[in-house]
Amino acid sequence: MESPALEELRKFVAPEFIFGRDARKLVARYARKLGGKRIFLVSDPGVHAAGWAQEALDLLVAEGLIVTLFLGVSPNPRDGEVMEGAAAFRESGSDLVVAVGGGSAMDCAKGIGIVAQNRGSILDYEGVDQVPEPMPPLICIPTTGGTSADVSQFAIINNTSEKVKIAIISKAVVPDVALIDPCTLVTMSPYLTACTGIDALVHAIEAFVSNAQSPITDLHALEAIRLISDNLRASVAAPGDLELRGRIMLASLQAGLAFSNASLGCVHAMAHSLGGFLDLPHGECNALILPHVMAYNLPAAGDRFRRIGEAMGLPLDGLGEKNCGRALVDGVLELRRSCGIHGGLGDRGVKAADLPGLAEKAIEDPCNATNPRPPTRGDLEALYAEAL
Amino acid sequence: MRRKQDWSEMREGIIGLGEESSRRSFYPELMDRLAELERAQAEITRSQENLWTVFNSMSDAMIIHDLEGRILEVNDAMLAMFGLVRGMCRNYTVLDLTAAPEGREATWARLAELWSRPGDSANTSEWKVRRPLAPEETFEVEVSLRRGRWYEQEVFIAVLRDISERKRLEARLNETQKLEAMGQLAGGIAHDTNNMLAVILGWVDLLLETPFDPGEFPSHLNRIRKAALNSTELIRQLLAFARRQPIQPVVADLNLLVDGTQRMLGRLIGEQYALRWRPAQGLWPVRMDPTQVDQILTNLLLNARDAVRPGDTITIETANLSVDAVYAQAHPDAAEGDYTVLVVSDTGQGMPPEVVEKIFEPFFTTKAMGRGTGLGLATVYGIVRQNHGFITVYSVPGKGTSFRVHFPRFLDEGAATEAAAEARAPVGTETILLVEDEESLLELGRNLLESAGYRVAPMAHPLEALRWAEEGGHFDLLATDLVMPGMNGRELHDKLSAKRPGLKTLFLSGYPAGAIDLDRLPGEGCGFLQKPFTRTGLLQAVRRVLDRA
Ligand SMILES: [Fe+2]
Repeated sequence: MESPALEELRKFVAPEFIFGRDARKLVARYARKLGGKRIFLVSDPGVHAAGWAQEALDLLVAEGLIVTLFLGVSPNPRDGEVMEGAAAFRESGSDLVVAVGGGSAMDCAKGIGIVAQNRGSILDYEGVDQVPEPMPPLICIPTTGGTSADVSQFAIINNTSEKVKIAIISKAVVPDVALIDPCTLVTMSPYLTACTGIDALVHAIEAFVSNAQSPITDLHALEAIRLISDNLRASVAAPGDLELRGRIMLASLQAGLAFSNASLGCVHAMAHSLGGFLDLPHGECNALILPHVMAYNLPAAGDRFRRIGEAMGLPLDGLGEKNCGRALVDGVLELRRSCGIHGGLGDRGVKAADLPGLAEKAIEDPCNATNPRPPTRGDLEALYAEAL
Repeated sequence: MRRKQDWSEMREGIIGLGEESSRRSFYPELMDRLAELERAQAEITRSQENLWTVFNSMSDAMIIHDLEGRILEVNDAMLAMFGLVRGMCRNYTVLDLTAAPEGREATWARLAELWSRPGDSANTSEWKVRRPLAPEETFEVEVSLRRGRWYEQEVFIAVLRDISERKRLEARLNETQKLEAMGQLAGGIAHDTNNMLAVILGWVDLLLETPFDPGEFPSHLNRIRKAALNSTELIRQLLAFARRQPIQPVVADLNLLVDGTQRMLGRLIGEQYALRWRPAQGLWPVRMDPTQVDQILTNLLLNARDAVRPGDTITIETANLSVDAVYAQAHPDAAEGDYTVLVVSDTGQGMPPEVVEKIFEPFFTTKAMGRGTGLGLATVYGIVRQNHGFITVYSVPGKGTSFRVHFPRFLDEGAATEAAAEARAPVGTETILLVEDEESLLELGRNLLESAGYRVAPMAHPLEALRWAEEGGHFDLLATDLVMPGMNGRELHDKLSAKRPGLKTLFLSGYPAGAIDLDRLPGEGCGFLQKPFTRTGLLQAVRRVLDRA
C-alpha cells in the first residue's frame, strides 16, 4: 500500500488560512482586501444566537462595508436554501461572501457563490470539476471543529427531492481565506463537540487509507489522528478549555487539508446517504458507520491501518494483522463511547427496509472512488445492516 | 465493472489534474472592468460600422494609399468607378489606375510630383484615369488629395470625382457659346461684305460702262482689290474663330494681334458704343496662339458690351508690367516677372465685389437666360492660366469695370517675330500642274503664277490632269484643290506620285485647316495653302514646297 512518492503527479490545494486566537477578527480587513464592497454574510440561527455572526457583521460595517445577513441555513443545507441565498445575493448586489458557522453554513455559502456566478440550479454542479466559472470571493470562519469545509474543495448539499446529499468537488469551491479561531469552539455543546471531533477523525482516517493519498496528505492525516485521540475525550469533558479546543481545531484543520486533497471513502458515502435520509448530524452518522467500514477495509490496507492504530496510541506491538485490526476497531468504538455517542442506526429510526434504498443512493457517491476497497451496492447494504 | 471504471476516472478528477481542475480567481473589479471594456468594445464596433456606412455612402470615390501609391482601403464608390471588387484593390497601385499615354515611367514622375507637393491642406487636380481591367477606357476625374495617418502609417487620402460628364457639358456649352458669338458676328460680317461687294460691283460697273482709260485703270483696280481683300480678311477671322485645332503658340506682337481682330470686334459690340484702341509703344513680345487672343478679346468685349449703356466707352489697351514680390504676394495667381498686359475696360454699370469674386467660375452668369452661357470668362481664365498668365479685375458699381490680362513676356529676343512684315513674293521658272474645278480660281491662279515667271498647265478636272500627265506632260509641282467632284486632291496626288516618287504637291482648300485632317495628307514634299490666298501667300507656298529637298 506504500506508494512511491514520485509515481504520479500530485497537487496540494489549500486556501490562505490564518490559525489562532482572534483570527476571526481579521474578517473586515480581508473582505476589503479581496475587493468586497457589499458583503453577503451567511450563518445559521444557532451560530447567530451564539453571537459569532453579529460580531462579524459589526466588524464589516465598521469597515464601511454594506452587509446583507442570510440566516436561512439549516443543518445539512438544502438545495432550496442555496437557491434562495443566491437570489438574495444577486438582489442585494453583493460581491463577496463571508460564511460564519459549521459545515452547513460554509457549504451553503459555497453553493450560493456557485449559483450567483454560474446561474442555473445548484444540482447542476454535482460531481468533480463541474463548476465552470469561479465564484465571488469567499471568506470562511469555522465555528465547529470537524467539517473542514473552510479549507476543502468539497461542498455537500442536500438534494431534498431525491433525499440524498450531493457532493460538489471543485477547486472553485476552495475558499479564498479561512480564519480559523479556536475561540469559536467554546460555544459548542459536548455532544456536538464529540460529533464534529469524530467527523474530523473520520476525515483523517479515510484520507490516510484513500487510494489517492500522498506523502503530504499522510503527514496531516496522521497528525490529526494523533491530536484527536489524545484530546477529544478531555475536550468533551471540559468544553471551556481553550487549549484543548485549539488542539481539536488544529486536528480538524489538518484532517481537512488531508481529505481535501486525498478525498474520502465509504464512511462518507454512506453518511451522505444517511444524512440526506434522516437529517442526522453529519458527525454522528460518521461515528455510527466508521467501525464497520474500517473492518470492511482492513484487508485492503492492513499496513496503513496499523499506522493509524499507532497514531492513536493503541498497543499493537506483536499483534498479527487480524488482531491488529480488531484492536483498532475496538479503539475507535471505545473513543466513540467515551465521547458520549451510543447506540446504532436502529436507535435513530433506521429500519431494515430502508437499507436497500440507503445503499442504492450511497453507491452513487463520489467518495467511493477513493475507498481502498472498491465497494458494491451489496457491500454497502451489508455495512448499513451491521451498523443498525 | 462499469462502476469501478467510473471511480478510477473520478479519482483522477479528485486528485485534481484535469483540464478544468485549476483554481481560477474571481475579482469583482476585474469583472466590472471587463464588462466596461466589453461595452466600450461594442461601442467602438458600432461606431466603426457607422463610419464604414458613411464611407461607403459617399458618391465620390475614396482611395487611401501609402506614399508609394499602394492601395490600402477604398470605398464602394471607388469599386464602382473603377469596376473592381473588394479584395482585388490591394493588388493595384495608383499607377495602375492612372491613364499613362506617355508611358508608366513618365506617369510615375507626374504622380511623384503631385505627392511631393507640400502642405497639409487638400490640393486638387484633374487626372485622366483608367479601369485596370479595361485600361483603354479612360475617364477624367478631379482628385482632391490630402495627407493623413492610417493606422500607424503616413498615407494619402484621395477623393475622386468623375468629371467626364462635366467636361463634356463644358465642351458643348463652349461650342454653343462660340456659335452664339458667331451668329452675332455673321450679321456684322454680312453687312460688311455686302458693303464691299457694293463697292466692287460699283467700280466694275463703272469700268464696264466708261471708255477704257489707261491712266485711271490701275487705281480703279486697286480700289476693287482693296475691297475684296477687306472681305477675305473678315472671313479669315471668322474661320479662325470657328477653328478647332490644338493651340499653336507663336511669338507675336500683341498689338498686331489686336489690330487684326478689332475691326471684327467692333462689329461684335455694335455701333452704338464707342470702342477705343490704345496700343502701347515698345510692347514686349508674347508667345501665344493668336486664336486664343481672339477668344480672350471676344469674350471680354462681349462681357463689356453687356455691361455698358448707350454712350459708354469700351477701351482696349496694352501695356508692359514688371511684377515684383510684393505684387505677387497680393495676387495669388501672379508670379514675379515681366508681363505684357491687355486691358479691356468699360465705363459701364460695374459689378459688386461678391460678383467679381465669382466671375471666373464656370456657369456663373449675371446675364439673363439665353444671353450668355456663363462660360465666357471661365474660358478666358482657362486660357490665361494655360499660358502661365493671370487676370485681375477692378470694378466699381456704377463706374465701370477693367479686366487686366497678363501674359508672360517672351524673353528670347533673338527669335524674329513670326508676324513679321510680309516678305517679297518669290518667283520661279518651274512648270506647275494646276488643278482646280472652280474655273475663275483656276484662271486667277494661272495668272498669278505666270506673272511670277512659272509655266502653268491649268486643268479644270483631275481626270484631265491625269490624262495630260500620262501623255507625257512634264511638271515640277502639282498644285491642286483638295475637294473636287470625281476625285479629290489626295487621290490625284497618290495616282501621280505612283510613277513620280518624290512628287511635290501643294494642296489648296477653302476649308480651314482644322476641318481637314492635315495629318492624313502625305508629308514628304507636300504643303498646304488655305483659300482665299493673296498673290504673295500663293507664291511663298509654291516656293516653299519647290525648295524642299
Ligand atoms: Fe465529514
